[in-house]
Amino acid sequence: MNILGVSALYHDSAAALISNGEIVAAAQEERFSRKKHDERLPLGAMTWCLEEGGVPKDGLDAVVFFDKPLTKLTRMLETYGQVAPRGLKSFMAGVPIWLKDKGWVGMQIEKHLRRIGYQKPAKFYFPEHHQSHAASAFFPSPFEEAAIITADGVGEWASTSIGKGEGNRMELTVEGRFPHSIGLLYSAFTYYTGFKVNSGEYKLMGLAPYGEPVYVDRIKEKLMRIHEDGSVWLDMSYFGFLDGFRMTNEKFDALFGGPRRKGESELTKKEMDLAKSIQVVTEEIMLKTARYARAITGKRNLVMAGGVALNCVANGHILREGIFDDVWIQPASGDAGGALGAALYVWHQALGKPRDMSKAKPDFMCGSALGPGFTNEQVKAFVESNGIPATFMPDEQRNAFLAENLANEKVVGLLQGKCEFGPRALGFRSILADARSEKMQSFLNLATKFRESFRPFAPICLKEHAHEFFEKIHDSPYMLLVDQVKASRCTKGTADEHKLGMVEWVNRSRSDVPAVTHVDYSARIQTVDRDRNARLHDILTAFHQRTGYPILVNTSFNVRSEPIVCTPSDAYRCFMRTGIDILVLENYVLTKPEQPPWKETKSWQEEFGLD
Amino acid sequence: MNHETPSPAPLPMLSPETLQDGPWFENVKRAYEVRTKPSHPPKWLVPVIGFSIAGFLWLIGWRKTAIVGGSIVAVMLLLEFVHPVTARKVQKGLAMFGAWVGQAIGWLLLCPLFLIVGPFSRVFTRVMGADPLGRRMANAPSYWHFGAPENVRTKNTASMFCVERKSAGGRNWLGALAVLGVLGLIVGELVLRFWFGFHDPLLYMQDASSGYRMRPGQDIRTGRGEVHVNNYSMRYHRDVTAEKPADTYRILVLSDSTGFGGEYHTNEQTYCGLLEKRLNERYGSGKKFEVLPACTNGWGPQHLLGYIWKNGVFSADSVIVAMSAGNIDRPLTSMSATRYLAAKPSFALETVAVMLCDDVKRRLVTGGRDFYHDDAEGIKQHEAGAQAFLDLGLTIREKGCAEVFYEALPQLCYDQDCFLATVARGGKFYTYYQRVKEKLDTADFVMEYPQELLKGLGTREVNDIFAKGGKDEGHYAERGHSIYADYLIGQLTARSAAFRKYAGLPEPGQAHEPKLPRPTP
Amino acid sequence: MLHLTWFFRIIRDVAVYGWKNRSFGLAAMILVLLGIGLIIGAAAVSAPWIYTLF
Repeated sequence: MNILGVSALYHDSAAALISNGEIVAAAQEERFSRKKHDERLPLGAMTWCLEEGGVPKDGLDAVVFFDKPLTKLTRMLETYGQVAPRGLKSFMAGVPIWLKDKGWVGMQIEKHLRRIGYQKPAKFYFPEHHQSHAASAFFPSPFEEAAIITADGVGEWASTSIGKGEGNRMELTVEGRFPHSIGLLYSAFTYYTGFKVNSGEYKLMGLAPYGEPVYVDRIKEKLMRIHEDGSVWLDMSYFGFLDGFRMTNEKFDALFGGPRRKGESELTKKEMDLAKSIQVVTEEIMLKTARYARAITGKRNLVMAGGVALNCVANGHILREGIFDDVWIQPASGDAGGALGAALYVWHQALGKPRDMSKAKPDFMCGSALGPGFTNEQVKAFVESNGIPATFMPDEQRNAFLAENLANEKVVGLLQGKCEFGPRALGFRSILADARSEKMQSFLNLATKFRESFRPFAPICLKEHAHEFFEKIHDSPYMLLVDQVKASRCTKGTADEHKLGMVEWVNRSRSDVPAVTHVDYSARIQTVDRDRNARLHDILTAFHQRTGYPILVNTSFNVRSEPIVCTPSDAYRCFMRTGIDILVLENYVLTKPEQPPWKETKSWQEEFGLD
Repeated sequence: MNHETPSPAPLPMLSPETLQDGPWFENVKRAYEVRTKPSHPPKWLVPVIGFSIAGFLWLIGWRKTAIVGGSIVAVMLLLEFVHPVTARKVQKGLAMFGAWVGQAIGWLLLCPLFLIVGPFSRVFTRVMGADPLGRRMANAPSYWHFGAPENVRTKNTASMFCVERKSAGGRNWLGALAVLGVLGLIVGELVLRFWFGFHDPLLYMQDASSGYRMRPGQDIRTGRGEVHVNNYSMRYHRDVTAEKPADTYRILVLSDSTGFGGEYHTNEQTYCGLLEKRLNERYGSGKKFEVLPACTNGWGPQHLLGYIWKNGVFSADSVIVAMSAGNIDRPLTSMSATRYLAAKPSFALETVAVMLCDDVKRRLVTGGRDFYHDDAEGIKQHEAGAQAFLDLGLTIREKGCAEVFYEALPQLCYDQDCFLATVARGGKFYTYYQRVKEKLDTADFVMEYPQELLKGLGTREVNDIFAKGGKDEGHYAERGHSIYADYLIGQLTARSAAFRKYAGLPEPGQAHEPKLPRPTP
Repeated sequence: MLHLTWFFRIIRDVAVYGWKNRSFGLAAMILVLLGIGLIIGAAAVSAPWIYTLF
């Protein structure tokens, strides 16, 4: 039985195909359309998933959309009915879009399927948004039983849900309702500090270590109430998203001493302190929620999904607190993962199919490598047709070559295996570099992002050696947990460090792996094991053998703000536009000096703005 | 010999545009064509729709529009073959125009909807005690809500909506009803005021002679018509004197609501107004005609008699008495006028309230009796009415007008074939006009019964002639007034020697007899 | 045909939503909005034929 899950129309559209309960393919639309956070109907992702799964034209049994469009509309209408006559412009912007587009999503999907030759599927399903998230967290996890927490901006009405999963069933018991949402609160601060909502939250998280939590009390006294059980209530008089296009309003500005920061202007101490303060508040909420979840479900493991679950710092706290024995977070925690969760929900929950726990090691996500992959033959055809010089190297030779060059501070762009499903690059579409290098952080930023950044890069580390570098967290396969770098490896900073500019501060060496150590000595870890990514494990092993360090910088393989590369041609373009020294396309190795001259005929820097 | 290693040939320059993609994603690229290559409607669709619209317009009689539209469609069709690129541009322009129109209509329809329903919804939910956004639950013991049971949610997976668990707590239904009531009153007031004009009703006053009459000097404008009442309580555009002006032929029309014409017409659209207008148009060179309508809603012969007793005949040259059969037996004390207001109300709702109260009062006090009953009392009233009819004619003669013409009004509520004698109502027959005729015969008054006017009319014609699309069987629509005005001209010509003389018309026998006008389509 | 099928499906879901959740007002409002949507669509489609009115 083939079930296609689809998420679309808000941000990060995606499609996922499961066949008899097994995840066959999943991909985000932005990887095909090359439009970051593409929210349109995922025509490319759907087509590719069906083709990848070899689904016959009459063999698609069900299509599942990841939320309930009608209830989203009723929530919008009820909201307008509570703020009218304010909110007219918002109403006139939102309702016609629903009438013309969002309300007809089922028809649009069916239309597309017919266009590509598929017969109408037997059934259409529409699980709830948080059910889709919860399903994406529990069903692919390695746990037979677990508590479930999903938290995001808002689904239909739910903004946070707590439930439990047992076997092939899950049940969401309690929920926090719109507009009282941790996700929206965090997005409000994202907006106020001048970052883009729905894409800038991770920047706010990365800014937090620079600040002091001086606004925590003000947030908790004026903006909101937090109960011991983790539930929150927001004072809507400070927020503008009920009746307008802004997250915050003048009252919010007055509370924090001025209007919001404009886009690309300089970040000041105020923004840093705000970032730190909201991070502290978010962690407090998530910890309390986790404790409450443990109390009401009695489960020893926790699974999480939803946009807020991408807050790696909070996730790390939850794990370190020991509330649960283990924590598993869906790598595609955002709306993209909803497509996968929706399909799994229907298979297990609606149709009652069992989970085959024998395949649960390490989990059902296959390292999140669920997207398009390319064979050596395809790569060969590509390089030959374009006259691109490339050298074929078997794995062992290739890995030794890479280890040597990485140790010499070369930057390597890596395309191997299937594309990751989710926002993080996990070693299938990654840029690798030497974490020991003091100048690597600065160089990488300039070479690929074309500007200095206050955010350090994230490390990949052999799982068996993670305990040598990080304090507590030794298994973080999807880069969703932050931990402290081992104190023995850290060098103490100077007392007046905080007076430096952010870039200068972050470029200071704080440990023997300075490129991946943040100003607060934390790192966003990805541990690499053979089960999930054997070939990356081999590269790291080779580097370890060469240098004694089983750790590298891993950043997403893309230039500026373009989506992560997907195909060899995307990778080649990025390679030629940036300061990457070596490009690896499966077993083909390309070095920069050997390449033909490259001419840009239009300004790609305008096309892909600053990250 | 020196063999130099030839330097490798330089590699051809590459760019993002020349970089060829590999053998992958062909189906995906085809799937994206729907975005890059927008679909056009089939070529035959535009001319088919266009010519169909043109054909339809031709059939309904909009011939010029059909020709213009059809020509433009033909030009576009020709352009499609001759210069497809330009045709596409034109179609694109039209599509953009269509999108703009759609957007404009969206604003026109959605804005009022939001601005009316939104605030009401806000007030209503507040009064009901509901708090869907939880803005007032700051002091709640917990902010968690319980979701619907999982089995219910699972069963509902195929639906596009959630089954929601209703939050506990009572609802203030009384408050909600109060809000609805207030809103209903506001909406009712606005509709009654601006659509029906109930805030400015026609006012009446008690009158010792005629029972009641319209208050003089009123100028009423409703959404659909206007009424001007002069100094003698006539629906006439100016005040008049008891003595007619010199060189004027004055016709006095004595009637009821049919002559009054309804508040959905202007003064000039009533048959009295049309009669005056047409007489002046037709015979007006050097001559002047006046048609004074002493016609009031609910009047019967007794009211007319009292009016004439008090005011005289206004030196009229001819008097036409046009009466509905059903009004014959209205006593002078009939309560029909008391349902109307004597003073301007502050609110349109007041008018409705007064009318409703009077209706209830009438039913309670009078037992719901109306004027059409067949008991001894009813017969007595009918006798009195018929007598009043006779007395009216005699009084008119006494007051100085020799020409009195009695006209039975052509109305649907009476059996056309039995017009002369009987009226069927409630299964019983009343000899309305028969009794009146017998009375009038005693003084040589003649009553005309224009049966020809209504005979053989089809449903469409009837709907055209009678008010409310034919549903009001006793009152005329604009066309009905027009037909009756022409009929009266014919009657004057046939029956009034004074009129013929003033109008310069030949006497009977000297020219063709004027025929009764037939309604024409 | 596809449009019609899904249109009726939406209408059905709106009606069932109103019944199951006892939200008749909201359901009615959504039906009104759908009606307005149809009018807007019809206007956008037929607006180019406005020249036939001249």
